[in-house]
Amino acid sequence: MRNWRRNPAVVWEDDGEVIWAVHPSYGGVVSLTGPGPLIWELLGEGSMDNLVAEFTKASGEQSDIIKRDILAYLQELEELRLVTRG
Amino acid sequence: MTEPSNHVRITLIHGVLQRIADDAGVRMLHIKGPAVAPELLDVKTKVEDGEEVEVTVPRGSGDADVLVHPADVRRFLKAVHRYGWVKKTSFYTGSAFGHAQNIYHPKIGNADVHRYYPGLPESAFQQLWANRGSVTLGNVNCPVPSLRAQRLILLLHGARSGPTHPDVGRAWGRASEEERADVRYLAGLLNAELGLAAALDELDGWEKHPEYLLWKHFREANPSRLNEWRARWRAARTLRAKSRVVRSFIFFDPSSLESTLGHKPTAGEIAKRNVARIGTLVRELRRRRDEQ
Repeated sequence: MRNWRRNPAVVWEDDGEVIWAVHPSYGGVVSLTGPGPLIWELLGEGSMDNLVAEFTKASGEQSDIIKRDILAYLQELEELRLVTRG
Repeated sequence: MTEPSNHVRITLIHGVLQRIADDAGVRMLHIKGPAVAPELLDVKTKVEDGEEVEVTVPRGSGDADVLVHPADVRRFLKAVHRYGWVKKTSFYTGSAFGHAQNIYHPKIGNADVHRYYPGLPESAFQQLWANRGSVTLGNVNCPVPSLRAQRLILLLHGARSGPTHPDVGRAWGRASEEERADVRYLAGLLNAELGLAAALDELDGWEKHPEYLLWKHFREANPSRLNEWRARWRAARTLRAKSRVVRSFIFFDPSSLESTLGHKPTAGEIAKRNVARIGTLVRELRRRRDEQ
């Protein structure tokens, strides 16, 4: 299981509803909405396993479906240079 | 919601610029806007869960302001350029004091890069740096001047912004006698007494100082561009500086057009703006002549 984490270069602010994040070399401000802020918070604390467990518990959905969806989300964040693996 | 608030955007810009500065080994202080200490912000009362609570009001700002060590300015500007930031105005055309260059990133916004702060000599940075504090902006540790120095900086800003700028109230009006004495002491230490005098409407006695007219011009919010030119001319102490004053008033700085137009301005677009600029000066001269 890969360990995802926030890219340490990312600059971000939480306005109470949305996480606004930007990587200095990308420049564009990305908004993390919906489950995004929770994912961002959990990324700061632990591993993919914690993320999946938290969302599975909260949603009542099957864990492999949750894991697939979260992985897709993280891969998008990775393209935006907001998260890294390993 | 697809756009952050202005306050969030400016905060992010501060964080981004600090990341770039850290990477390049640049000494930089964050000033004004979200970098201002809570003690110098306005407070308002609001009702939360049925109770009245006091909340600080974020200080509005159009762009992020940073003060860079004079020896690090060139390195910093090269570094931000590598990250996609472009020059919007030069130091000499961006302001009457020639102190700041505006840079712009098409995806995130504007920042003012100060190589010194009007009212403070370049050498003041060392003292500000030695006594710096820090604040978290965009979850990045950002160096800021001490509270005392922030008071002085806000006062110097207020002095350049007309007779009733709220920064003077924030930094002086609400200050204790001890805090005021502290600021006066720091102004003396940093040769910032003229700027402080302008902020506090104490310019009597400073008439012989080369920069007196310039501070008086901005303190009074005088709209006349010719008056500003005269004041800048008087403040310029070298031939080269005087030449820059003439050029900046006659010729338009093309870099300031680029971000407005979204492309490098053509020769025709620059010429059009120069004609308009000269037209404004001529009209003002005629108006003065007709009034005499």
